[in-house]
Amino acid sequence: MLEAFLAVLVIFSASILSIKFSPATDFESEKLLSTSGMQALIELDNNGYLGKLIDERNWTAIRENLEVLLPAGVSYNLTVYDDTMHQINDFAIGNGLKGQKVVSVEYPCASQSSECRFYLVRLQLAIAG
Amino acid sequence: MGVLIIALLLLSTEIYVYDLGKAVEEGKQNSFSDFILAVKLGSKHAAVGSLANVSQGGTNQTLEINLKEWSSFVGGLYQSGKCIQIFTLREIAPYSSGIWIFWGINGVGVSGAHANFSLQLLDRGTDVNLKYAINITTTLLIQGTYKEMQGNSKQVNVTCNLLNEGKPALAENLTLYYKNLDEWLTPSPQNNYTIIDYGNGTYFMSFVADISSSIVEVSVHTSDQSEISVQANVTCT
Repeated sequence: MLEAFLAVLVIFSASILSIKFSPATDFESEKLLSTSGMQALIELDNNGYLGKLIDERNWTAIRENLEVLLPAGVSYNLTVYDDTMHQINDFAIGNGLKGQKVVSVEYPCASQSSECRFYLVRLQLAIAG
Repeated sequence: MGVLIIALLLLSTEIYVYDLGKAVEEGKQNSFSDFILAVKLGSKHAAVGSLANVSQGGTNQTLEINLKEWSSFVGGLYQSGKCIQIFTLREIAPYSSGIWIFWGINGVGVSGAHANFSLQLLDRGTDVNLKYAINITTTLLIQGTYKEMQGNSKQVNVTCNLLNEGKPALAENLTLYYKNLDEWLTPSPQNNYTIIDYGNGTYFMSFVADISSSIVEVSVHTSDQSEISVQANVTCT
C-alpha cells in the first residue's frame, strides 16, 4: 500500500516537472550557431563598419568579412532590411545555406553616417554537410 | 516493487528534462546579452552619426530625433518579449540638447554628444533593466608659433592633436588657415606648406607667408574618421 502511494507521489511530481519545463532538442548546437552568428555581426559592427558597408551597398565586402568571422563549416545567408522592413540587398549574401537545422539571428544596426540610417540584419546559419 | 522502479525511471527522465530546461534559460540569457550589446552599439552609432550631422551644420535636435527613431526601431524588433528604451539628453552646461559644440579661439575645439539610456527587456518571467550612457567627444588641440623673417614674411609652425574620447585619433580633411588683412587664407605650395602626419593623431604644419600684422592667427578645420567635424583657432606666439 505504502509502495503504491510512493509511486503515485513520484509520478505526480514528475508530471508537474514535465509541465513546467518543456524539452529542448539539440539545443547546444543551435545555441552555438546563433551565438557565433551574433558575435560575428557584433564584431563587424564594433566600429560602425557594418553600417558603413550597408550604406555603401557593399555586399561583397560584407560576405568576405563574414567568411572570416564565422567558424569553418558553417553555411549562412544574410538579408538586410531597411527601417521599413524592405529587403535592400539585391543579391544573395552568403555561401549557400545548407544543413538540416537552420537558426536565424536578427541584428539591429545603426549606421554612423550623418544621415543615421537603421537596418535589420537577418543572418541564417546552418552547419554545412 | 516494479511500479516503484518505473516511477524512479520517470523521475530520472524528468530530472534530465529539468537540466535541459536550465540550458534553455542559459541560452535565453545569452540572447538577452547579445541583443543588449547590439542595442547599445546601435545607440552609440546613432549618437556618432547625429553628432557628425550637427557638427556639419545640422540642428541640435538631430540627436533627439535620431535616438527616438532608434529606440522605436529596436522596440519593435525584440520578438520574444518587449524592449523599451528611453533616453535623456544631457542638458547641463556646456551641453544643450545633448550636444556640445565649442570651437574656441584658445587652441581648443570640441564636438561632443552625451545621452543617458534606460533599457528594459521584458520576457516570460524575466525583467532586465539596464542603464548606460553614451558620451562621444572629439577634441582638437592646436598650438602655433611663428618666426619673423624679412619684411612681413613669417614662418608659422602649427602642431595639432586630434582626440576621440581623450585618445589619439586620425584626422580626415585637415585644413589650415591663416589670417592676413582680415581675410582667412590657406597656405599653398608657394608658401612652402608642409604637413607631417605622425600617424598617432598628431600633425605638424609649417608654412611661410606675408602677414602684415604682428598678431598671427591660425585656424585648423578637420573631421575624424566618423566624419565628426571640429575646428579650433589660436594666436601664434
